[in-house]
Amino acid sequence: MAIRRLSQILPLVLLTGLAVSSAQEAGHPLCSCKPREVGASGSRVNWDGYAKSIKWHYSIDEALRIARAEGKLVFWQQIVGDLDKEGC
Amino acid sequence: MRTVAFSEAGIVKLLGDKFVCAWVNRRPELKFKDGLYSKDWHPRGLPNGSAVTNITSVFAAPDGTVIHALPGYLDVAGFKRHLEFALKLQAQLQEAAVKDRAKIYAEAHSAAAKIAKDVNEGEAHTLLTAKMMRVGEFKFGFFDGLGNIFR
Repeated sequence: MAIRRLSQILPLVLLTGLAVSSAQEAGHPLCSCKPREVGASGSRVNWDGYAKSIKWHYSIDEALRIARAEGKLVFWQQIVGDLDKEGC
Repeated sequence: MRTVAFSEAGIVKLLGDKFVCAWVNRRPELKFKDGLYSKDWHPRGLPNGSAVTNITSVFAAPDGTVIHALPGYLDVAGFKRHLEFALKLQAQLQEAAVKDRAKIYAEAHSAAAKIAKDVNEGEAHTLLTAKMMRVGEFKFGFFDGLGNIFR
């Protein structure tokens, strides 16, 4: 009984998963995967294995607050896309 | 830039001494299926801000005013030049009366456009002359007209 029910549900689950994945990749307007900004926490971190000598902040507001306190400028690097393969 | 400019000792020191650094990935979900540099895409000139890709550098005053910005990959010499431009302009703005700052800002970018090292750099300076912006107003798409194709 349980196996029969599972065999009825499984194709639907798989189809739904494929559709969501496709929509996410395409940035489909109905998908909840709106462009998001990574890191709003403001924690002081390094940039995922790159440029380890530079202290990077996730939050521009925090960077500005520190800049005001230390009398510095802010350098804000804006990027888009997955950076696994290549790119800046 | 991650592996070249941001790894160069002089730039690391300059950034550490004079800047607070922040970064944001506006669309981390975006995949470059065919790689970042597709066959039919041709960078405009040399890697000196010309290879407009998926990156924009923004330099801001501590009060949140955008001093300078440039799209694309910057090599070590180019990045240093733009860091120094931002520092110099900020020093000028700090010394000036508030009412004169917009004019000084526009004149500095206009002058820089005339002596730019490449077309992209010149056009970026020219775009910036229009008005001083707050960091909240500055969107990644600001340089779309220069071929900043990944948004």
